Amino acid sequence: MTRVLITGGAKGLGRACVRTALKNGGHVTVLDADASGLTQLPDGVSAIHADLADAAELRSAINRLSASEPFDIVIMNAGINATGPFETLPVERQAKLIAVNLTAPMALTTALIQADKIARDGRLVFVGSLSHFVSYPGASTYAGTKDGLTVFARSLRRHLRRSLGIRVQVVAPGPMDTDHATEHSPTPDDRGTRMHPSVVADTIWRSWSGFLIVPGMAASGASILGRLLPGMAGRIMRRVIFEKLQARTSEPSNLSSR
Amino acid sequence: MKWQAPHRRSRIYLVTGASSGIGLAVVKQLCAQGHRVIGTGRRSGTSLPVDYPDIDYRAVDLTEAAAIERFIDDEIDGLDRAILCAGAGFYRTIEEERAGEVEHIVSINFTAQIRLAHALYGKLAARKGRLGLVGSVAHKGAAAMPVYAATKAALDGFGRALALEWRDRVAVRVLHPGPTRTGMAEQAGRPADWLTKLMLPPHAVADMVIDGLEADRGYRRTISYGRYLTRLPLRAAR
Ligand SMILES: NC(=O)c1ccc[n+]([C@@H]2O[C@H](COP(=O)([O-])OP(=O)(O)OC[C@H]3O[C@@H](n4cnc5c(N)ncnc54)[C@H](OP(=O)(O)O)[C@@H]3O)[C@@H](O)[C@H]2O)c1
Repeated sequence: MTRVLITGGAKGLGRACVRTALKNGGHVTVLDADASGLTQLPDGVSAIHADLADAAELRSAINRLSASEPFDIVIMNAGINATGPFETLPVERQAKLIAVNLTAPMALTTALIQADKIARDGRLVFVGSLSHFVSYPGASTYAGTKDGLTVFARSLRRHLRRSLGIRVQVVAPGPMDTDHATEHSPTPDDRGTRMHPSVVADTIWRSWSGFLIVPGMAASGASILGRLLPGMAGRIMRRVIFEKLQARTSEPSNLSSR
Repeated sequence: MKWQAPHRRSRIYLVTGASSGIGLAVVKQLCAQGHRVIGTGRRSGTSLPVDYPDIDYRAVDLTEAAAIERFIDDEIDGLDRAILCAGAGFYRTIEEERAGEVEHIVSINFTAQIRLAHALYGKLAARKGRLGLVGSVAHKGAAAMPVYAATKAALDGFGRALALEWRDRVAVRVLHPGPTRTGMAEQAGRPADWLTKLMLPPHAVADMVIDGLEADRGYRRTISYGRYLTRLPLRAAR
């Protein structure tokens, strides 16, 4: 049986990955900060409750994982966002974002590798973002954490493949139809054009090879534009994301409702 | 009115990591050019090198949020430029990394820079200032130091997005030095050898950092050996 570890599996893309893994006969362990979300997971899923932003909870989660059987697939999915003009976002919120999106997955990876908890021929998948190619003004710290995670994966890739037979991958989804993405979108009513998380989860499951996985035609197209014309991609992102967020922050009524 | 070349104007600079290596070389260069410099490092003022330039120096541990705020409130009034050089890293593969120390490297190389950028915004924007973030060529990935590489990539991605956000207010530049002869590599666990001699001299890197911050376009600049060599005749001519 395929043993799967998914961080942030209580909601959104992580939850979709749980469903996909179960559908394919996997045994799933979920690590999440959302206690009530954990209780609503399907039967048979093992739950570990831990707030990844909390160093002590992260340590105890690491201890629990170090005592478990090795995993065949590890999906480092947990992530949070904060959108708005950088200087208007509380800096403590950005520090928390860094802890969850960057520090925790690197510390977890380090511990799993050193405790030999990823099986030979197993997969270690990091959830990055399409912003790696096109940038993300209006979520500058978030964009930084996702680039950091992507390069962490790139640094490990060859080394882990050779020394332990582990395949390291990054999935870079574009806008998805999850609470996370819609909450942070300047146009929350565009759900129709967003990718469904279950499609992304299925793509992750099927992608046994390749390093960078960009699910969907639209996101692939954007990633190619970002690679060929990074300056232009950045200017487009500024116009379609940042300038709208800026307009929203300057409307006091919207600000208070968030 | 007398015409003055723009780069001759005296400005107020903030330099972090000013106690050693690239930051120290930046401070020396800026002093020689007649700018006013406020410098910070972690060590106390009494442990600075004997020939340390005569500048406002304050010891600040940038991994402490409150210390950053206090320092900026107390010491910084007007500001034209900030060059953030403070950073640290270890040559450790993933097997040699220590899970408990990942947080420290992220904290000094990334979180501290976010806190500084956040706290400095108003002061820099008031004078159409510029923010320089010192990264590393490792931002593209490095198997020998995955955590360090990740923090430098994070800084690059942050700088790219912030440069777009602040486009008309504060210019943001990320400057990525190649291997530099500062002793950082030895500290990071890479013994000195013949390769050390081939590393970039800190004063040349400092030069390119200071100039790179003034670049008109492009948020990112790599400070490579190639760029150094092509600049040599230019330096001689000055
Ligand atoms: N040397 C290279 O080959 C190289 C290559 C590419 C990029 N870089 C980058 O260039 C920057 C400077 O490196 P360097 O070679 O000049 O290194 P360095 O000589 O070791 O200097 C590092 C500086 O950062 C300060 N610092 C470290 N931790 C701090 C903390 N918690 N709070 C406040 N200040 C702290 C140090 O202060 P104290 O010494 O007073 O503790 C020192 O001034 C770093 O960001 C580094 O990543 C270096």
